[in-house]
Amino acid sequence: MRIGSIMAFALTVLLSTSGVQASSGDLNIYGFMSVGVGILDKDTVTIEGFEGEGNFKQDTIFALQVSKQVNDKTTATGQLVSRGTDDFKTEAAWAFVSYQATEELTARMGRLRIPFFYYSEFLEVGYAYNWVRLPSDIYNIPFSSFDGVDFTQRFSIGSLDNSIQVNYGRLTDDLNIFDEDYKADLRNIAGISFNSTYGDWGFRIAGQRTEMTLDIVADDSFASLVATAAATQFAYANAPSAETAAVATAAGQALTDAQENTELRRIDQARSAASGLIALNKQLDPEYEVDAEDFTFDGHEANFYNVAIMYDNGDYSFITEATAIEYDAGLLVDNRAWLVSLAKRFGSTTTHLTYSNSRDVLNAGDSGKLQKALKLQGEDKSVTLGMRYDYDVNTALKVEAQYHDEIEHQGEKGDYAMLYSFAIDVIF
Amino acid sequence: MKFLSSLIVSCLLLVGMAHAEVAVIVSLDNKNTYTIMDKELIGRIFLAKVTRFPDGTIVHPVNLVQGDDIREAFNRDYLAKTESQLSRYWSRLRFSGKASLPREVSSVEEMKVLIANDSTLIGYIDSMDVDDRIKVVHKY
Repeated sequence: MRIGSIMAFALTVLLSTSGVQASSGDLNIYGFMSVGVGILDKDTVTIEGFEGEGNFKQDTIFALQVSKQVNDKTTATGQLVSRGTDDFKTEAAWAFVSYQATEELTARMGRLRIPFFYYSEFLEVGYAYNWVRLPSDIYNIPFSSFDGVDFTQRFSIGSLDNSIQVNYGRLTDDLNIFDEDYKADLRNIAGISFNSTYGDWGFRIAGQRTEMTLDIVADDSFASLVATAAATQFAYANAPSAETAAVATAAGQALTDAQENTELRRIDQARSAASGLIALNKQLDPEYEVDAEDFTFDGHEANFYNVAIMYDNGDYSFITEATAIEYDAGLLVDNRAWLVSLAKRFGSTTTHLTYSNSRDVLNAGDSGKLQKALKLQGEDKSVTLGMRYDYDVNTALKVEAQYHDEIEHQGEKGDYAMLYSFAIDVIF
Repeated sequence: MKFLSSLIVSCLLLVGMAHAEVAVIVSLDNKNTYTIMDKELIGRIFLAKVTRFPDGTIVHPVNLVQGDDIREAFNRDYLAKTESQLSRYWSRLRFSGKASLPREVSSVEEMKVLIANDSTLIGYIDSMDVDDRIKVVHKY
């Protein structure tokens, strides 16, 4: 999918629009809404955005979807979402023109969702799944939309119904990482996802890649403070004495003070610290294999892979999903995550149980040692038990208890907590 | 005795419901016949998983409105889904801009007229309502 085919697609849409009188079909308005409350039993940790006490805002979301069939083959669709987490600012999650080239081939252009995971394209539609919210151990990529094109081709082989979706585009937006915002330019977002269903079974395999540039600030004085602290500790370790100890302690204190008063964000600090440590290590060891640019965010590639297996016979359902994310930039740590969820329906009530796990994987060699020193890695697991009650065909009530264990959080030992949630999801 | 008689009446009602036979219908011009259309394929057509009849022509499903007894029988027997499960199924497709809901008609007569005049459509009615304007491709 190069620029040529995007242009050809745009041209086709324009031509087909101009040829036909735009009259067919009405304006369709649909929407979905979730209201919820969550209570965390500890205020020492943050789980799924909750920090102790009752929070009514975190899970609350309202969306309107408007679509209009412009002619036989072309439809314009917009989905506006306001989220409690964003102080109810309204944002377009989707805004696209779709062109149905054949019964089986659809092309879309505009603002689209990135089909990372099985639930990605309807990740905010609480009504569409059993959970109050999608398990954050897996669903924690800090962006979900992009601007570009996607093409979906459907085909059946016997009773096996398949679709292949390819997407290409770019995203310039603020990304929220470690609860702070970074201006990001994600270029050449390109991916493919393959979905199959056979009877009660479903299968999915998908991959995405992009080149990430983040507005990371490199601070030289912070870098030299880190380098000095490390060098004086190294000197003390080589020649322990009261004098070297005092020097190391003073340098350590200077760094701690700087960290407490800094305006630098978490990744700015890591970037600055990395450049200080890399320079120091290069002095000490000419063979040192990490370069300063490995720990920046300047067009570094990120790769994402996903596999999912689904089963649903109406009474019992099951999903397992596994993902791997590889970052070329050392400032974000590679991640492996998976979940397995079982559900049983009794009439209008569905009970479900889910286990999920997320583990950051440090790079090999010197690069991994540096990541460990920068304390960027984490590990989480959670067990969720919940119940969904379908009040009517447009309304679901949900209660959920989630045990979440932050095994490691930013390189430190984490804590565990219980999160209790209640939500009402409607579609209209 | 009163309890017993009401039990008998409710059993009779159940039997009556079970006997409502669904007839899946297409237009007389449609070349697809009883022998090549099975229950499973019809289910996939109504879930927008399949876009063509076995002969390769385009197919568009038509539903009766929500709450209709025959629609409920069709959902149960052909799709193995409750109305809520279907609603969830379609919400995933609708809010990801993937597919729109099948067209709906509010009466059997409307269904028959629509199907009779468009060979790309497939619908369903109570088998008691079948007449010579349309063709049955499956019964259950």
